[in-house]
Amino acid sequence: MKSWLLWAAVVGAVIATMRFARVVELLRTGSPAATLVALAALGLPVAALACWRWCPPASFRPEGFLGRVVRNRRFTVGLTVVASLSAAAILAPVLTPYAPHVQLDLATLARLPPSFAHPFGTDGFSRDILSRVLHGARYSLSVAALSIGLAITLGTMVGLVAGMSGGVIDGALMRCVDAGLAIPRLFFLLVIISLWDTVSLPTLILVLGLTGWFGTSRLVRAEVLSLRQREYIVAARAVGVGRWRLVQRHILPNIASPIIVTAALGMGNIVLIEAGLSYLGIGVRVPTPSWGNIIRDGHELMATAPWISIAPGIAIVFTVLGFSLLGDGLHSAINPRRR
Amino acid sequence: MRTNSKACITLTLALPFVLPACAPEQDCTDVCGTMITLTTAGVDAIVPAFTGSSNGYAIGDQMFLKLAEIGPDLEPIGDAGFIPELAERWSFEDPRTIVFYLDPRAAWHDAVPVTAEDVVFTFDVYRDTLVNAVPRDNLEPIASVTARDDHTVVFTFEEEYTAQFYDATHHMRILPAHLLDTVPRAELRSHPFTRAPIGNGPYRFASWTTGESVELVADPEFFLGTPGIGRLIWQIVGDLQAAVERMLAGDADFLDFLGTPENAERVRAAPNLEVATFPASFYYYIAFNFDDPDRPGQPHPLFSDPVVRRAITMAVDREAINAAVFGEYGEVPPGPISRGLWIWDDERSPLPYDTTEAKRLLASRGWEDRDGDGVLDSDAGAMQFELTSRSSSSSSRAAAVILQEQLRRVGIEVTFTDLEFLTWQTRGQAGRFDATFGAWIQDPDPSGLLQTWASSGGSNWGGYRNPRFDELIAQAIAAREREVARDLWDRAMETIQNDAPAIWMMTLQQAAAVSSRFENVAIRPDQWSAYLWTWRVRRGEMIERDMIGAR
Amino acid sequence: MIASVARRIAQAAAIVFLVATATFVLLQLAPGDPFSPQEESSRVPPSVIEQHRRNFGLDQPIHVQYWRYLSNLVRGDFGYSFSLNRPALDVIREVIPNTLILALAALVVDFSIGIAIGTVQGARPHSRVDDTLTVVTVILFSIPVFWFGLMLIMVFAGQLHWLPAGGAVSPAAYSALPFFGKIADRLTHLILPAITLGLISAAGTARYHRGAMLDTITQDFIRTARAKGLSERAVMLRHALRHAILPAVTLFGLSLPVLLSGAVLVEAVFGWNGMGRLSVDSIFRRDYHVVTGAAILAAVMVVAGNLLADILYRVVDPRTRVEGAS
Repeated sequence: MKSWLLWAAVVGAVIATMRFARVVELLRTGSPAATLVALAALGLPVAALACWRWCPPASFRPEGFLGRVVRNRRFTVGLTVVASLSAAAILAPVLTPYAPHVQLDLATLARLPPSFAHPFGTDGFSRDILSRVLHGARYSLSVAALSIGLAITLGTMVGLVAGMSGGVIDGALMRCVDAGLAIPRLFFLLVIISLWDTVSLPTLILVLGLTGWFGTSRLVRAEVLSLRQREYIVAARAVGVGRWRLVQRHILPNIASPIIVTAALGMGNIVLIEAGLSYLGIGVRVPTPSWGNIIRDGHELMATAPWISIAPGIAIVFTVLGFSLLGDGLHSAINPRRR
Repeated sequence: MRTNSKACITLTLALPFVLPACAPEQDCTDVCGTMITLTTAGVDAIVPAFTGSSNGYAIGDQMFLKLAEIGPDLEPIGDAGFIPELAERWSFEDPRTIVFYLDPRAAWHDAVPVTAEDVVFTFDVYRDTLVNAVPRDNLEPIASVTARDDHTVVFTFEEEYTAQFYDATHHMRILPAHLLDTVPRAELRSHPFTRAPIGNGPYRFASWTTGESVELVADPEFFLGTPGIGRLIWQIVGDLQAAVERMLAGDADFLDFLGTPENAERVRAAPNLEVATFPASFYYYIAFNFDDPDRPGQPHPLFSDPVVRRAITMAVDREAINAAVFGEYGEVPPGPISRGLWIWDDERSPLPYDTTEAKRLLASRGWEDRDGDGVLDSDAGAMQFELTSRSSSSSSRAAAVILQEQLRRVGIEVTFTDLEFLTWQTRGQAGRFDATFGAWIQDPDPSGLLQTWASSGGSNWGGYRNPRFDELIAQAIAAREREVARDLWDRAMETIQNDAPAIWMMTLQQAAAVSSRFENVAIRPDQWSAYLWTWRVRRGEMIERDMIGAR
Repeated sequence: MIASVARRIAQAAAIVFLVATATFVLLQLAPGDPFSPQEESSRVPPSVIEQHRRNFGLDQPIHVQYWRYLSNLVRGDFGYSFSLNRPALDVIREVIPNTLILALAALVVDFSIGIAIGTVQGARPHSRVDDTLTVVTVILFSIPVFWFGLMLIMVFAGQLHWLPAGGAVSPAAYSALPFFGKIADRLTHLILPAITLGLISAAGTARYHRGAMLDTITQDFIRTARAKGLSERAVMLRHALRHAILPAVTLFGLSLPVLLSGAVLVEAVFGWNGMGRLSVDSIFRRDYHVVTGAAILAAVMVVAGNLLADILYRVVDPRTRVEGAS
């Protein structure tokens, strides 16, 4: 039962990341379900992994772990922030008065300061910034969720292979990971973006995912190596338990929690990177709103209409903060010693 | 005195929080003054023969002279409106031969005299296909350039026409043969000379930091008189708004383009700045590619059809775009002409803005929204195209965002790709675009239209071909009388408007910001910097940076 | 000790080699031939392109190309900037000092503020000060660096006019300034970008250092020091901090890639003429040899930084020294 669940999760994550073109297509048509699907791409594997760890009757101790989690203020605050942002993103078309690209009236409604009608003001093209920021959330969060899904899946696989194989394979993989970590992330992304002419949304997600797995794989490998030292694993190996059975039975359940923490922290990081790329004009392309390119639009009008850049910036801060708290909270709930 | 002002600068810089402190003493007797010009576009090259950008010309023209310079009236016909530069005088020996007599005082900055040999060499370089200078085609009518003696040079033409003198003088800035004639032509553009040129103009090269700034210093021995400003600095700024802020903060002295009316208002309100307006010598257009960029030799699936081009043009509310981007300064051009060109005709109006008609025209060509997704479809697929634009032009970016939304409303999907200026240019030349958002700067003589829109034109990126249009402008150029020419130009404009090879987007009354401490500010609309060497800083209004390097 | 350092150097070299290989693979995967970067090369004479083609052996089988590519890199041939018509390395080399200055200044801000916050927190864990500072660092950690820069420009350059909004020097005055004037001018231009980049990285440093302090204050020698009757302040500054600061040396190596990534954005915001801005500009120019070259050099900096940190750590930490010797 447990292994079924696990493989379903992994396959789900892989399909979600491989089929992201379709998901993104859905996103473009603007149905709330699409964002749900995108967020589920991250949510489902994580939930499944979490269940793998804590659902089985043997280790199911709600009063212990759940109690710790719920009592952890960081986690609850983080979860609230993330959940409400996701809800806002999914419900953006319902919540916002205008479509994000609609130019209301260039002559009279451009560059209006915040008011009752336009809580965040309007931009240089008389578009409602609240609508843009909320729709921007859909793109920023979906891009982050999909690329983290890809990065975590890849990182876990590489880490497992390296940790379980050892020897030359381990050495080679880890040197590659070292090399990947040595190139500052943004320079790495710039190289890839420069080599392909134009970067579409699916390509951006792919690129962010493919450059984001190095840290995870290193972490997973370290966990695997330390688990392999444990007596019960040594014992299991001694009685001839197969390698992949070992992974399913003993390794994966035990590394699930650090992976979940990494995913949560990684979400914040990816949101920042995507915003940075879009700010530079090489990430999400106009007129699709993303927080980064809204700030870019506002940069030019900083002196006369500063509110254009302020709102999306605050949205980024909240999002990253939410995911950091979520990750931190989980981390300290999982490792109660290290506070 | 000098040490005094220096001490003053050190003090203020060491204590940045008390910056507006000391005024330097007014003690400039000879060449002094600093002018900082801001620019958002990059500098590709500073030797005019190798540049294609307006920055390249603005900077290069301070170091390299022409034989004669066109006067403030911008009269390209005949030779009466020209001011002597390297040539002190000239004469028509016969209708097809012009003889130039070089000024014997003219010298290169390394003290070698300027000779007829330099002029012959320059013509050869400009015509060389390995160098591929931008005005190469404009020099086509010149049959030969020969040196009669050290200071006499003879131009002979293939045939007689009105703008002969203009073509002989306007395009070429003379290059030093004694430094460059041994360099293989293919290597000229990358020769160290291009990074530290030696010229013959009012300013000498001082330094060039790629992506940052170019600095020139006045040549006190300049043979036509002492330049008014001691140092000229061009500084590259990331975007227009940053440039405007720096102007307002008093960190710079000149910005040739203010973009939005808000900026012009803010500059006008600033005590240290003035706004200079003049009819712009450029117009913005969105050129359609007639050929398929992906399949060489094939017609473009959308834009080879004149009805589709007209429909798209009519779906764009160009008035609204001009109002949003340039406010009252902007205007929709009725064809490929700028506000400042003499053939501008107030009576000609652009294609109307009419979305109903546009949709009708598109429907007549089989474009309808069949699947209800808001985008028009035909058997060939959905109606979408890519628009490339220059990242350095915030005006075209702003206009493109508005256009994108306007076309979305009629069911046309436009994706938008920002390119750095030079890349945009090379892609345009290679025909690698669906539609491209550009701006052409026009010479005083409309014959440049031959280059940009005629079938054989080297800069006709979209590949518009209409023999009727070619014929009309050829006749207009050859015309001997102004009124005849005007009528022919007018008919040419009508033809090209009907063919709609591009959407004629915007032209304007250009507003520039100038520090109010300059006097004698003469701006020639086609090239603001043409008389820059005669500008001066008012005595008594010098500020710290004017005293640097004062003599 | 020497053997282990040698091993680390060999590892570092292997990493640089892999980075170069990765860029080679990416160049191969990219559409088109790296020396006819579409028509962008039309300004460059065909003979120059042909020469570079030969130089990189593009007519040869792939393993030869790979070998040529690597040996060209070693000789400093990073390819050609077709839009600037100069060797890519020349273009990059001009701006490296600017990036290093910015990164170094940011590192100073990062470490001084990060360690100060971490020390205060670590000295009184779970106190109100600690909690407040934790909130501050978590928020700092969440701010996008380019947005922070914009906000600082808006306040300190736009509203207060205290500091310049961008650039590395005052363009007009700089060349004529006396030596100290030049330094002062550069410093005033450095303040905002360095604070932007440094402050945001300081959040991580503070967190790390707080942990190190917590580990330290539970150790025996601190108890001994307290027992000796030293003041709390003396215990913290003289004993705990000195011990806890050791791991920060490794942190220096870890911060470098983060700082260089951040520098790309900070340089764009402040118009700082460094490697990041050059790379971004080069993307719009489709000048990808400059982008790959800058990335390789950035990786070399990171690897060198890590190596330096590692060696320093071995030198300052007696425990590893013994281990190394054994």
